Amino acid sequence: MSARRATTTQDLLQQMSSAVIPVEDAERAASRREQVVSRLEALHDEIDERRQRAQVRTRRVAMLAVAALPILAVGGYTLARHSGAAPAAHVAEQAAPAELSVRAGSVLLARGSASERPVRSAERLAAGDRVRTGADGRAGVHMHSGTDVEMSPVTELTMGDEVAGWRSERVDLARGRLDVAVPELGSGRSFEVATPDASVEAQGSHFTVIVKPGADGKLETRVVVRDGKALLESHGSQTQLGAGARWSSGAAQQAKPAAPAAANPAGRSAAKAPPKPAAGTSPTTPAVKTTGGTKLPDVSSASSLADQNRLFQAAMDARRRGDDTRALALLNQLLGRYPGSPLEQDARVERFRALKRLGRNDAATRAARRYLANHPEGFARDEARQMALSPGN
Amino acid sequence: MADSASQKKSSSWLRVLPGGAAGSKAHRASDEELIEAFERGNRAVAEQLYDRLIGVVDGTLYRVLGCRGHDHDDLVQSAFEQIMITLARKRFARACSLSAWASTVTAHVALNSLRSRRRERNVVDRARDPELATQRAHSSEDVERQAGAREELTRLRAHLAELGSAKATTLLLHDVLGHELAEISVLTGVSVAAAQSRLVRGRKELHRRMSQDAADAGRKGKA
Repeated sequence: MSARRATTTQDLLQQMSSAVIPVEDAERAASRREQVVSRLEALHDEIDERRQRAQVRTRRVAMLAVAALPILAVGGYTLARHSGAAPAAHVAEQAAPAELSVRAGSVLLARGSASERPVRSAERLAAGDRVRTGADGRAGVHMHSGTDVEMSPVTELTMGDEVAGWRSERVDLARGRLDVAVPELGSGRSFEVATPDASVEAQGSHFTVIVKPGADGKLETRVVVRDGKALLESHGSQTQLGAGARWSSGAAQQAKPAAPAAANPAGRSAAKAPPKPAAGTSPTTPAVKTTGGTKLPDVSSASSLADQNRLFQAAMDARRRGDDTRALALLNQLLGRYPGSPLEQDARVERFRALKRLGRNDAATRAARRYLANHPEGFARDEARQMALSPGN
Repeated sequence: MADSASQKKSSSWLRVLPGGAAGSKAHRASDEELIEAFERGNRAVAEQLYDRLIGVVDGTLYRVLGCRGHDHDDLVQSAFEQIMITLARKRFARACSLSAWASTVTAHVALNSLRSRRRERNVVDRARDPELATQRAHSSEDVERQAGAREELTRLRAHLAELGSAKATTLLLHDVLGHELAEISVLTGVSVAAAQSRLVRGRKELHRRMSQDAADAGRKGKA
């Protein structure tokens, strides 16, 4: 009975699909055409008018901004001298996608090219911000979407850029443990935690992600889904994890007999553990400043534009060396810190290419869509469209 | 003689071409050109947009709703307004064709209409449909079968309206409108895996609802 019903349901859908559309009365169709076209023309005029008003507003704002630039520069410089923070930090705060709350102990925040500073109670976070908890530190991050992220001690994360056109949020976990509760975000939205060797995407679920060195000293990702479902992507393959499921990148690698590092010498260098802190160094002050397991260039004294060029150049150098993971981390830094950079388009193209080379096809697809949304006429639009349409290839 | 010469001349000038009047298709603007014209503020684009997409919009509405009801023209207008607004807001990323985008937007409009109709009257309970009951009472076996099939389709549509929006849209786009999963993932802004999961879950839920419905009807019949 059940099989017959399934056939019937499919048959009915098939009937809907193959229904012959009857020819409409020409007079009625013509009258509707006239009515709809006239409404569309009116709507078009409204949209056009709104667009023109927005352009005028933008021009005015731009003129005001140009006029106010010297004042802001002087003000920012003075403020930076007094507070020790870079002027870019205040600009970044305007687009805060999340709020950081200190639960206990020491919590450090690094913004832009500024050095780490302790957070006392709460702070708004922007894309590219790096948060690190000390050995006694605990913190919570409340995302704009309503997602709650709890950071355990000795955890380091970087805020990813929100993909505006596709409304998804991302954080990069370099090490430590995150407990994540993602509410139902609605169609087309998701929350992603990216680690050096995996990414977990979910909505309407509760899960934990841990990044720590495994038995062989290499960084390993562990995922435990407590409630709902999560989509896990690692080394080019995707797995749907249900409630109660546990996954470890170390076990997954051991389960693959023919997956040696040499199979993709360029792609997976991120799996290498970052250099360990020197003996006697406190866990809250690692010897290497890391984001996504990579060392950042020293850019504290560089100007904004020089910093952007340096980050992009470093990413390209990493790509030429075949270190796509490092290239990706640097591109994420560039896009996070300078979303309006003149290099933004190039960085986005290089980002989806790097993700593709790393075998993170779904992430590459999303990055390609984001690129298309931002640059429908961009130089790499054909390549991005191809990637957006055939993510499995 | 003169007539014959004239005919000969005209036959050498006029030929029947495959496609007939559709020869103007050669000058048909591409999707890109149409969108660019729209973005430049060309008012004539409304007419071109209508002519380009009316087939898709009308067909999608007819397939999903099963007829051209009294509100068909309003739904067509509503679908076109939505298409234009999404173009203005640049939500169409140009990774798919304009007609695929139009069918997705129209499917949403049609589903919303199904839902509002569902709220207005309970279409599943056949005992409440006096017209259908009268028809069944006076019909021959063949007409009875046709009426039964129509009724099944009505129930399917009612259950589609009750499915979650994401699942119902994915199911319609794939099983009714014939889009590929990769295309649906682009149209709905999710990964291919998520689109597939929605499709499978949508089919399962629809099947479960239809089975439940049939079981309820059986129990009512026995009683």
